[in-house]
Amino acid sequence: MELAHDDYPGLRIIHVHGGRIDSAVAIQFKDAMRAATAGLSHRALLNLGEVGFIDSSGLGAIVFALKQMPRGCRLDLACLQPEVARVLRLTRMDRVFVIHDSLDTAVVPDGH
Amino acid sequence: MVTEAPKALECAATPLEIRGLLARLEEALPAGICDPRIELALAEALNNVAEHAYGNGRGMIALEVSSCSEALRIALRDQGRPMPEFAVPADEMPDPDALPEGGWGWGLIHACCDGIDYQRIAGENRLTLTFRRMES
Repeated sequence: MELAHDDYPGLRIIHVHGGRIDSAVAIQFKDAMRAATAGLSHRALLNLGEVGFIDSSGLGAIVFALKQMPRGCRLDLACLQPEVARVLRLTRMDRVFVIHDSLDTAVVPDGH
Repeated sequence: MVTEAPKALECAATPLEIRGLLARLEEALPAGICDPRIELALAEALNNVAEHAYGNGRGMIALEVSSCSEALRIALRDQGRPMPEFAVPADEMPDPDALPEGGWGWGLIHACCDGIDYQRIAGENRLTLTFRRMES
């Protein structure tokens, strides 16, 4: 599991490269998210398009990443695969995040 | 009722070993079973054993997968600490607005399984998860 990012005006897209965010990589994911969002002054978007599976440890790591965002900066999610969307829905954590179907809709400045 | 021979799997109670076991799960399932609930429920159950029964210490987890035409049954055995109250934990999810970073495991297991049985026998935890076969 590795992260990479692209910057757009007012938005940083953070791509997860790796098929799973589970208990085996939760700590690594948290550290990488902290590094990828440090000093940010605007919205970030987590592209989960490659991620086919998260467990509760992975979801916890994503919530951690949200809570450690710089003050006033949102962390949105994009491109959820069905099994990832299922975990968000079952835990009702889908109401905590702005979730985008694609990166295109998310790139609109301050888009919803 | 057609019953297939049970298949046994085993792993050490560590996150990487658990991931490896989940990757091997598909070959232990009867042909044609493709139910994403199984991997999620099992991942949560295995993580719980590693984290709570063994307290992130050393231990083994044994699995037995058995099936009939109506259902798939996965029995987990470990030699860690018993469940609180010697019972299956309640079907509860934490409040999303509190931004929890965990606590969803048993809620997810309940949501994914059609049956959950727990027994403490001879110093072992025996957790059996049942999934009704879905039409494919």
